[in-house]
Amino acid sequence: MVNGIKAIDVADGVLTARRESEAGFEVYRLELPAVVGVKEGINLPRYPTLPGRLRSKKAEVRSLSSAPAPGGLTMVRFETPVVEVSETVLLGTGAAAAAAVVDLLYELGLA
Amino acid sequence: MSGPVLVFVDHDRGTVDDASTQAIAFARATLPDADVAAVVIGRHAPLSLDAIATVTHVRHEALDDYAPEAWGDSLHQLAVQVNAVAIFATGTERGNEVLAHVAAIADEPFAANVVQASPASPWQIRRTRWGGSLLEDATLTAELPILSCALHAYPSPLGAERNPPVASVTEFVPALGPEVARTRIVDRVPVAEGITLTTAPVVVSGGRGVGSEAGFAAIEALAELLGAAVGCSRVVTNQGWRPHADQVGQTGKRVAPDLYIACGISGAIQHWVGMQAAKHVLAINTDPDAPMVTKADYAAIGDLHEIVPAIVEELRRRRRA
Repeated sequence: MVNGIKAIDVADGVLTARRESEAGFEVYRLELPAVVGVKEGINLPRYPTLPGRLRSKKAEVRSLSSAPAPGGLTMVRFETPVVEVSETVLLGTGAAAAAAVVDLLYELGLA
Repeated sequence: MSGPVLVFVDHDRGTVDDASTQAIAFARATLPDADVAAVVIGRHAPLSLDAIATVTHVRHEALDDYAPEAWGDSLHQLAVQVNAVAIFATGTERGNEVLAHVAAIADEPFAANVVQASPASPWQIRRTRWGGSLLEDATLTAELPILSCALHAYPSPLGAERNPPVASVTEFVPALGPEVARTRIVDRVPVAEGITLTTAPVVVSGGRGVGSEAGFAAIEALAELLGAAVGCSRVVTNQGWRPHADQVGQTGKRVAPDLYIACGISGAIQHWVGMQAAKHVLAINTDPDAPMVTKADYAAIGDLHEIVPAIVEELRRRRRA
């Protein structure tokens, strides 16, 4: 199994997958069958066609019940994190802001 | 007699990412009375780490390069042998992947991206979900607690031994069958030489407001003048204006530059989590109420197509002077 994959190629029962790393891509080779977790950006999903949507209405949906063991990792509650409100320093409006932006770049030692 | 907390420290052919040692601080903060031992895996593993003196080096011919299943299996075997009280790692892509394998092999739960944990019975855990847009409080009941800490949640090497004594390195050779090495890196493709998004001191990023592929010319000119890397938001890669490798955010890269210049990016949480570790944020946006503007340290309000070229011009003028 590999995760975070952004490109897949299958040939002769071997799957080649690419994952982004700091410096570029890592290339993984897996024998089939394999489990691959993909990352957004691997493709653009097709918009479902009308016949496809009609067929999906008739498709059989299999339901399985599962009884996870008690304990383990149990969610208690969710919370929205407090958004840090920072004092935004307004450097100006339109092209006239450029001088103040460049001042800032020099001030931060980045220009 | 309980054993140590094992902290998996990821490295790429011997190079340790700063983030990987954050789990050492996490382990010390969470289990202050326990011994903490770093675990490095593979032939090229670094045996001397700044933050810790106790290192276990796992060696096996199947472990030479990164192989998630084999690395997880080895870490699990080591935990059993030393009777580990817990296994920690930083919630990097690899840290979470290796711990997921350990958890599957051990048949234990795995709490990923934890920001706070107290070892009671059960453990009380707070962790980030959905790329940092939600916090979850949870309880963890496990024989062997397996936790990763959220990136940048424990940035300071708390209680770190800055100049540790000569590392006490213990070797461990796991018993691995050929089948666990079935997933491994076979090649690496470098994308760019020099400045990369994750190492650049300045990142100049463009969003929907840039409007087109050609619109990035001014952003690239500014980046070149500053020795900066060019980033972008998800909309931009979805439109095909920039390659996916340039995307910053929840499903792209996580960056932590000295300055992040966000041009025409509204600042949705999915983007924010990718650049929130930046030291300073400058937003250039037409909308003074955009989340990126209100959260930024500095803002210039207006059309980026006027402001960015004006900055480029001003920089060039001052350099000529």
